[in-house]
Amino acid sequence: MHSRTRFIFFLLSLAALSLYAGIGATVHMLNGDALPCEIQTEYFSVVNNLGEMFLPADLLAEIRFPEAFTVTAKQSLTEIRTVYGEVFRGFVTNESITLLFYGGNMDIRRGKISKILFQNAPVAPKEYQATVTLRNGDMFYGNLMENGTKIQTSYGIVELPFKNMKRITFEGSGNVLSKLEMIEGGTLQGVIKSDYLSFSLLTGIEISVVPDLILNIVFAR
Amino acid sequence: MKKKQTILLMLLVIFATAFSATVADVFMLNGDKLPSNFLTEEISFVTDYGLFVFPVEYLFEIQFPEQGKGVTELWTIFGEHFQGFLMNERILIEVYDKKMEIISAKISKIAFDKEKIEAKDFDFFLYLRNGDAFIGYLKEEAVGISTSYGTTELKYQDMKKIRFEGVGNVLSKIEMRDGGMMQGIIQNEFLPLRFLSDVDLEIVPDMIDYILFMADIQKKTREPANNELWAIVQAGSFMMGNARNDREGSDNEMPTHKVKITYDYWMKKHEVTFDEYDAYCAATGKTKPNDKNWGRGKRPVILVSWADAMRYCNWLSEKEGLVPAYNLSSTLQDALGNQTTDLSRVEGYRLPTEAEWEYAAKGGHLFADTKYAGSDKIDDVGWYDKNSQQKTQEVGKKKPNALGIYDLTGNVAEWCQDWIGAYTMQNETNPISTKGGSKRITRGGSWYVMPSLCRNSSRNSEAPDNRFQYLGFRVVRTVVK
Repeated sequence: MHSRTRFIFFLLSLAALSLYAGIGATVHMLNGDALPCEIQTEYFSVVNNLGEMFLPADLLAEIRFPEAFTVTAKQSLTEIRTVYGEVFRGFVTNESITLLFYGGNMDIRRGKISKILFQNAPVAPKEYQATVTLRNGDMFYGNLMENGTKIQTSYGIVELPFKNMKRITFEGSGNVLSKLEMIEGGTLQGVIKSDYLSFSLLTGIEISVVPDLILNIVFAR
Repeated sequence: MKKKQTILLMLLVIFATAFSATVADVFMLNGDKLPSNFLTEEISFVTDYGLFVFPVEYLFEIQFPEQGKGVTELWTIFGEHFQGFLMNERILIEVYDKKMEIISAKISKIAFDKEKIEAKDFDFFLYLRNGDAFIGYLKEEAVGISTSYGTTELKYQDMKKIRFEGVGNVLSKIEMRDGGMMQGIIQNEFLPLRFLSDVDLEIVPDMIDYILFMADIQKKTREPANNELWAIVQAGSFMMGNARNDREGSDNEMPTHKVKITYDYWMKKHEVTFDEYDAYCAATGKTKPNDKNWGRGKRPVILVSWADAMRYCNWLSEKEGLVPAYNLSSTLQDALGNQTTDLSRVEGYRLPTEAEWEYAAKGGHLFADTKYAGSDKIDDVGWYDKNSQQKTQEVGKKKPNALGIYDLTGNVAEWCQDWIGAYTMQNETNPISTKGGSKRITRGGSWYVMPSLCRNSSRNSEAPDNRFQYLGFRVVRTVVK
């Protein structure tokens, strides 16, 4: 191999190595073991009633698995927290997690883990349009992917831009009544006509949520 | 030509039958109910232990969580239970001859028009710690066990039951068919299984509560051990409460109301005796209750709390290979380990409900309108304050009632399943009071009380932690179809 080519290859390998450097974390196992390690798994697949999300390991703060699986349905969800302070509940579907542990790679079954504490530093959320809180307690920051939405009020249909909104509160189920507070002080009540509201999250994920699952949306100023 | 036409017609009928849509009632979040032909053929369902694709023909019901809080529950026609999330974003149905695609997140419940099917030809029932349960086949023949004294491999076909305990290094207690017992750590990282619905699964032992193997399951429909000691009470209806208008009746026996019991059940012909309860204590290392120096043997056990009685029932169930009637929260559970108030689905031994007790006391399907269980004269059928010499008496020494059950009147009062609650005039089917409170029902009166409190309709209650020298219990078991 030509020496220049070798040098470029070496540089590329170095770049690849640094790109895939693991994320510092402590993995706590169900039997009480604690493994300080580097997580090599790049994405965690999380499934919940919003669908499937692939959360990058470098944006995660904590994954807490249900205790001993001996719990009621409501509690048997895994809780995932991001570096922004967002919370998602669902199932982590990665069958195993790869980690670098005292210099050796190790694949561990997800079902044997109690919690993973990532060493990623907390990040103050920036450049987001709205804080969304779901009725199940999940919370995330993001930008709405549409400019506005149509509202069916008892006196007519109106299309309102999100940029003029302060807060939307959702009530009821099925025909979800939305209460809109506008920045200028106006208030409206009606049914959001869209089947879904789509968000682009700070973690780079895009999700669509039916209004029935949302508790409120607070718009950032 | 005519023959060809007939064949063609038959093929069309077969084709139409094979590919006809499943009928279901789809309940929407806004309260709408859509009787539908369910055109979506498969349901993708993700749980904490895997993603499954269920053909719709295997589904019995899907219940979505209220307001997105919690998980969706899915039941198959075999009675299997799964908790997770439905991954189909939309469902295609045909409503009133028009196709309609509906958003899954807008659905409250889907009830498929299917009968439950008794599963046959399978290897095991598997119960997870979160309450999920399923039936299927083992994909391997044996499993490695590491005990404190060595390592071995055991064949599933020789096993009766595996119970998993602890977390991380899960301790497995394996009961073998020949009576052997072994404790150790299962060496396999996961157990590969296949459901009846042809779905494969690999599951880590940490998630499993226990596995019952087929030969053990077959015992379930059998009669209780020593079946001559049990009376069968057939399904039927009766008037609950003081329907005879006994003058000495209390207000809490009114209003009378019609109660229907839709299942048969076995009731032990006598109250649980010291002999029986002592055997339980010996087997489990529990302290034997005091007998007040009246003697043990065939006298009814006394000084037992409601929880003591419940634990005895569970022990008896496990001894006979049945799924215990009570879960760790002392709540009734069905044959698949799901919490239930449907007594027809509870497989193990348990305490009678107040309605079951009174129905049996009044002769059940052989109804006899007597004040006491089997007679209008209490001295014929029961021990009470004036004839008991102020202590318990051996069971079965008085006349039985029409069903052949002894001592429902007097001797010891008997713990029932229900919490105390007032009667209403409403007709009831398989009633059970689960509201909670401070006291559980006791029935039948005892050696300590006057005849009026030993009547069939008389009601009493005690705090469940109490242990009295006049209070024992009797065991029942549903005949699970």
